[in-house]
Amino acid sequence: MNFEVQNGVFRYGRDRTVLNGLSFSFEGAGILAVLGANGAGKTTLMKCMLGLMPWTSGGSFLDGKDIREYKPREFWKRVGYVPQAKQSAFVYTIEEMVVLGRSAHLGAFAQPGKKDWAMVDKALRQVGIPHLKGKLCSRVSGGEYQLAVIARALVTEPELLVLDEPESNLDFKNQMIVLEVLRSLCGEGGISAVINTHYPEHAMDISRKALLVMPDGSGRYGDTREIITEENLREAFDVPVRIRTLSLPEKDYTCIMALPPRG
Amino acid sequence: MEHSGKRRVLWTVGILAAILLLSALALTMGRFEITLRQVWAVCFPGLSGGTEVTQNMRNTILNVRLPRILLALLAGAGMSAAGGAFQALFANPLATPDTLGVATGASFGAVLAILFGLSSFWVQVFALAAGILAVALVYLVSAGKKGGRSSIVMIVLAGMVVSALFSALVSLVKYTADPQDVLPAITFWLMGSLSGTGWDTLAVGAPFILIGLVILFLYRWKLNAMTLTEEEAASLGVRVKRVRAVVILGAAMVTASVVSMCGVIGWVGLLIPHISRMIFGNNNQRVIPASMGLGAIFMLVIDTAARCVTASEIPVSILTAVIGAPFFILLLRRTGGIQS
Repeated sequence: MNFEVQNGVFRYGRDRTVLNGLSFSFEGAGILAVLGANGAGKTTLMKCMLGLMPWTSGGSFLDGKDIREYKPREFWKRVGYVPQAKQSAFVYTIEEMVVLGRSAHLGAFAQPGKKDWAMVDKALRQVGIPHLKGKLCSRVSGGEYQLAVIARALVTEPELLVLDEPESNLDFKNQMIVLEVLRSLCGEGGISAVINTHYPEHAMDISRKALLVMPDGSGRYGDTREIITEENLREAFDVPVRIRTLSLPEKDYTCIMALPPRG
Repeated sequence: MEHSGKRRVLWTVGILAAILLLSALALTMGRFEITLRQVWAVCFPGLSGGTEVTQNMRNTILNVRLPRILLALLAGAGMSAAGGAFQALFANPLATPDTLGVATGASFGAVLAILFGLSSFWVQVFALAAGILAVALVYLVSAGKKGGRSSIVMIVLAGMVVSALFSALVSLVKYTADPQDVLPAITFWLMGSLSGTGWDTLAVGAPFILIGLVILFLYRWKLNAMTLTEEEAASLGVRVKRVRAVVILGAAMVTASVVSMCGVIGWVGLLIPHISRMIFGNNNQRVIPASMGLGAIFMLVIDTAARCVTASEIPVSILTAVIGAPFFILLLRRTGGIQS
């Protein structure tokens, strides 16, 4: 699997430029983390990247082919999208919600069958919440619901998973659970993932590549350790940043801390 | 899954059996007294077991009561399924089959034909055409700007506008109608009635309802995805615009055709889908078929009451509210509402 954005530009109307000439190419299993300040256009990037919103110019390519040339169902069989978790007007059970991820595999009139329900069970086991399948989505915690939405993307059997701030709004433990699930999917699971995150530490922890969306709408892309530097983060977020290594007996951890803005 | 599978079969068989049984009972009821045995003898002459039936009896059962009962079943199933589908499509529990102005449009067509003194056949044709015209208008208005994003809101707004327009036109027709005989006819028609249904009425209207019902039934699972945001549904590989257009067309065919045959029947399209959700949960795979079954039963009961309770017909819309509201409240209190 190779996913590529070439010179992506997105403008609202004529003069409000959100994304200005972003390019990156991501290949093979592992995680690409997208970082940037609020309003920098991370969510817009996700949507444009997947064709849910149109690029003003430039384009996205899956295995070298412009995604606009794919039939929607063919594209969405290979790509799973996990939007910022939101409850729908009508509340379904977890398994009813997750099985919707099979839509791309089922024809217009088809109903999910035995095979689809078996895949739902498998995906729920992968994200660690098989016991919740009969529960209503409104009766589980935010972290559990987020995992269910990830499971919904997994039943598509995607090669590429795109997640919009999967660990925002979650507490410490649930953040770690979600990140561990992603790490294992993209490690042994062999899936590629693009995730938006507000936490440079998380990016440092789990991602192989990083894309920093700068305030001017341009992007800096490369290996995570080369992109997440004090200097780059200061430019991207407009605050001084310190990066230190915390050595614990089992492993070295990277701590990233923002300092109060000066003057 | 196994449990719900068995439960589903039981409910399906139960509802179908109830429809058959109640239909048979409804055939016996009315001012002309007929026994169940005689109904049997008329329906299955070969197995009559010597029961005598008169020509008059045969005529009442086959040409008066049977088509009317069939219409009640179709109208109830149709309005309920259309309401349920719209609620899912617009992700709004308050949607009704008339949200896009189809019923109001059809009413206008009908009252116009009544104003012109046309036959009931033409009233039906005018209503059907105007109903479909209304939904086409909604589509045209909401298409508006290319690439508009919140198109569901646009569609619903366009529906409200078109509905208001046709409602004004209905008022205009009423205003100009002769208050001696035409106005009462219009008013009675607007309150809904299944009286005067014959095989000829059904022959024109039933195919639209049946096709619409088949469409809604086939798309029942896709409706679940449609309750998510448009982008979310699209990212699941659902052709959002296409599904939306087809479901709207299906529901509009049902609604326009029902209104063209029996006038505006309020409430059913709101009431029955929610009752179905209270019993079966929000999954539209179950809500749509359950709405069809329960809607058919509900309308059959309502219409039988409408023609049997008093010497003169009671308008259906009055009964759906009078019988429906307490029933709804009872269920609301028993089940604690729809799952949320």
